[in-house]
Amino acid sequence: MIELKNVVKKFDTYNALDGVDLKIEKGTAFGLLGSNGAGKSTILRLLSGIYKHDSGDVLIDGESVYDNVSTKQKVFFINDETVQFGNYTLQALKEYYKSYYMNFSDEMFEELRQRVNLPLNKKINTFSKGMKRQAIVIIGLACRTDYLLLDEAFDGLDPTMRIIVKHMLVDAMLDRQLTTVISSHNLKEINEVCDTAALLHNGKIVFSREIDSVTTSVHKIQVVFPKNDDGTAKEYTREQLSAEGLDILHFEKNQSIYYIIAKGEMQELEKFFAPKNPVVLELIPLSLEEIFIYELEVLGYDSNELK
Amino acid sequence: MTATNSNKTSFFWTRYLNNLKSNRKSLIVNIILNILGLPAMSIATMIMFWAEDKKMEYAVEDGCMTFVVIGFFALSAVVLMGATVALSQYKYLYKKTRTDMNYSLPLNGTQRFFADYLSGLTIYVVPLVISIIVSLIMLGIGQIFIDMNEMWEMMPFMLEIALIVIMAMIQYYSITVFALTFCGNTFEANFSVISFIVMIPATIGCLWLAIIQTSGFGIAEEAIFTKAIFTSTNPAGAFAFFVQFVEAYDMYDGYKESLSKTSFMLVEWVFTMLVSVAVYVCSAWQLHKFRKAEDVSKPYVYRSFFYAIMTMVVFCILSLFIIFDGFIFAGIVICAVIWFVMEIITRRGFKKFWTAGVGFVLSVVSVFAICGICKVTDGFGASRHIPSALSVDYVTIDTGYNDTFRIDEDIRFKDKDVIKEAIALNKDIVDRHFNPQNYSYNEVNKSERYTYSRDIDINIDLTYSGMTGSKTMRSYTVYSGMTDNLTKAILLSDEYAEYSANELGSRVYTDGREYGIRYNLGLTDSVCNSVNHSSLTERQMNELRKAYETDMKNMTEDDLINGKVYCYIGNYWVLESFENTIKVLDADIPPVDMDSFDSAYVDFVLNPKFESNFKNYVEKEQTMYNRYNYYGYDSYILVDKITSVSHTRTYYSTDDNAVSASVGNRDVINLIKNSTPIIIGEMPLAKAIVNDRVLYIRNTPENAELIEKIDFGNSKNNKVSYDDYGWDEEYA
Repeated sequence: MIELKNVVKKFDTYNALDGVDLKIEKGTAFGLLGSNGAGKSTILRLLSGIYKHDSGDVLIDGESVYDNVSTKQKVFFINDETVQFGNYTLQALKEYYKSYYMNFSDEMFEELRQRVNLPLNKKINTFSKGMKRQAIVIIGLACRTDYLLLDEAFDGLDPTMRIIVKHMLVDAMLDRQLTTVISSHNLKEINEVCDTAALLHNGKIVFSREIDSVTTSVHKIQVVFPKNDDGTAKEYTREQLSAEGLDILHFEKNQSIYYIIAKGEMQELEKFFAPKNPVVLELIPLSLEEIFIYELEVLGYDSNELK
Repeated sequence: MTATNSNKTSFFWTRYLNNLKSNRKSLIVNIILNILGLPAMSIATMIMFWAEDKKMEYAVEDGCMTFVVIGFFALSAVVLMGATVALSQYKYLYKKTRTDMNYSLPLNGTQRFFADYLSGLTIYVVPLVISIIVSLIMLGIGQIFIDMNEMWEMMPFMLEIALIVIMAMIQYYSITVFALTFCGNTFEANFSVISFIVMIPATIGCLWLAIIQTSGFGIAEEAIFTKAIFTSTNPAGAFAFFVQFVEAYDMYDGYKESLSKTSFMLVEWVFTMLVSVAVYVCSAWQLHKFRKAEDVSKPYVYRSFFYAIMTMVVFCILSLFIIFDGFIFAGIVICAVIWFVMEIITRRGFKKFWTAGVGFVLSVVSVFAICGICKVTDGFGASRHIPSALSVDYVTIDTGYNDTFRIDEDIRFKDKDVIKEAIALNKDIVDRHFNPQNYSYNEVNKSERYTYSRDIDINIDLTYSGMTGSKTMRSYTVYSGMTDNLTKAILLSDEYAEYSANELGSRVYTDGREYGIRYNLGLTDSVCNSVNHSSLTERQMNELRKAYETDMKNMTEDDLINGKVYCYIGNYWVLESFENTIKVLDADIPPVDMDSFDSAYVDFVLNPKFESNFKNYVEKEQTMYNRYNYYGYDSYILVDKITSVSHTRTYYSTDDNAVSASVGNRDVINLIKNSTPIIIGEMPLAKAIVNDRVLYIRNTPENAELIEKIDFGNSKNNKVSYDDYGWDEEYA
């Protein structure tokens, strides 16, 4: 299990992580979401022992990671670049990592390599961007570590390859309870691969939950309220609805139609609006991407304002 | 095949081997350069020896020289590869992607650092070591077919040279690693490596110049080259040591003898070099340990080192302007230009640029402060500093070539009396320099100059080696009488006995296989006539040396002061009390032939007075400008005592007024018989010029009476043979 307890990481005076608490259970596929500079890559680098935290605890299976050889044995980190492998052939890179990771599986490597059809003895800098990414992913999987950390893992992969790589990851998770932590801006992919996700903003965790519960807990509501006795339209402000207990992420009114993004299960929301006898009430679950945008909007990361 | 689970906690050797694999190109290039180096030179050597044997060396000389030149350049390239190898080992510190790749591996910081350090060192140094071994094997095989005895005799020396080169390479590599660990960018890394290699010796040198320019009494410029702080802290210092080592290796002294002397020197240097390398490596390790992965691509991870480098640059430039009375403002402008250009480069712009100005001001102020403290404290008190006897392990004394007492720096005096007397002499000289008001001298009237004997002033170098390996070197000029107690202590020490015994005889180089090793003895009798003699075998020579050493060790102070000379072996006297030596000489060489003294008259200088330039030297403030220019005509002094223990002083008639006496006179013969080359801290009654050599008549009642009785005429040119007066019979 991965645990981050009140972790602070500063880069000079900039707080990259500001008291982050996070728990990732073994065998889960965990997605790290967040705005640019939110601290996703910093968390991955802390978990792989590259960075040292300034305070708090970064633990894997109860043990600290930084400078801890036996814990680092359990983790394989794939960062968002592949240029560092350029001078190796796939064979040489395999031998290189095989010498450090004692559980390395030649069979798995060969099986995965054949699945993506990568040449063994060509220098990696002659590979396309996607091939380089495939190469390091299959090596990461063949190392058979307990934890696989992927930073922008699907960058540069074509749609077919994305599916293949996703299958590889899922197979490994099913086969040996591999814990995968993926940071990506592509929320659709996180949605497809991960079962749990955390949203980060400005070095803080906004939420950390199962993705299913995330997507069912925020709804887009289109509602039209009945007219008053005098024929005027019944009006509600954001503040009024919030005061009545609705957790609103976004509020918009166009003539008599209200567009509201609010947190809550479908039944709860229906229950909330029922006493108001809406003429129209439509509840639509949000995609992860929409949740990402609206959650961050509340925190001031509004695309309209940033324009 | 699937690897099994393991609890392996160290991947040090994995990393080490992977580094060797990753850098195999560097390794191959290094191996090729090494093959072009020593093994190629060994082939050239073998060809030369073979050609020499066949008397056809001219036919192959040019070809062999080409091998040697190529070998030299290849070895130079090997040495210079240190920085490249280190940079390639630690290049991951300068690129984020590489940092991620390396830092995420299952290694801790210490394992990573030392695996990288050692693998680089292996790539850099091991090919050279292998090439040395291969060369030795090749030469060994060659020896079966070609006679290369001469070369093999020098082999220990050549191996010592190889050790010096290897140590310098290790240090160069370690300094490079040290400089690399405080940088975060390739440009700054290269700049820092070059700066450190250049600025460390330059700064030490400039500080030294500042010290001796401020107050350099007794301190020689070149003394810095003997100090561990210079020779053991940087590759330029290692080169300085290399030059000294080669110079110390006296080819004429025989390889074996030189080797024992230089080996001491080498052991000390290797020890201090190891300490210095350990300091660089441990510093680099700690910097590496505490540097953060996220600092990659910053120009300097530890910016203080940038300021250290720049302050060294400012110090070197400004101190030279201050020392040589240059226009200091110009120096400051030059420094400012360099400083701010480097600041702009390393800051990548003008961010918070005012701090660069503050840094520059602080740097300039600190340089002026150092120079000011240097001035106020008389060069940090360097010229007043004399080590305590307790802290001195041994002292070496070099009096150079003079006719008073030649002693060279090869002897390491551990003898407590010698150390004590050297320090006492040193204190006396320093006190006379800094407190001249406490001393009075009998100054020579200008009109009387040149009417007295010269007491040849002695240049004396004292080098104290401390228990910790530190060296304090002082060079003074003194009049001989001041060295009386030191001379006595030296002559009565066991070290001098062993040294002088070993110096007896000179080896004759013959073809070892046919004739064996022979030694010539330069024998002269007590009145400096050359004596015929045959050369000695090595056994005979060893026997003579052992006897002389025993006699010297048994010599008492009374023997030394009052003893009479029996004969001279080269520059060394044999006293009549040297029973063992005389016995060996009688047994192995023909009897001493005293017939050759053929002069009818002997010159004497009665009641000689000796003048010295010492006052002029000791009271003058010495700087680099006037250090070797202290001789003047204004303050010669008459000395109250002289010391001389050598019979090699030649008489120059311009020295003083001599009178002659006929050797037909029994009293004259007795007076000559009483003359001695050994006079320690006394004023002689007379000088006797015997066979153009100066001996002394000591102030004893017997000699005073003899001089009183002799009628000294002025008959220098009426020389007759001693034989006519039965001199040899008398002597015998």
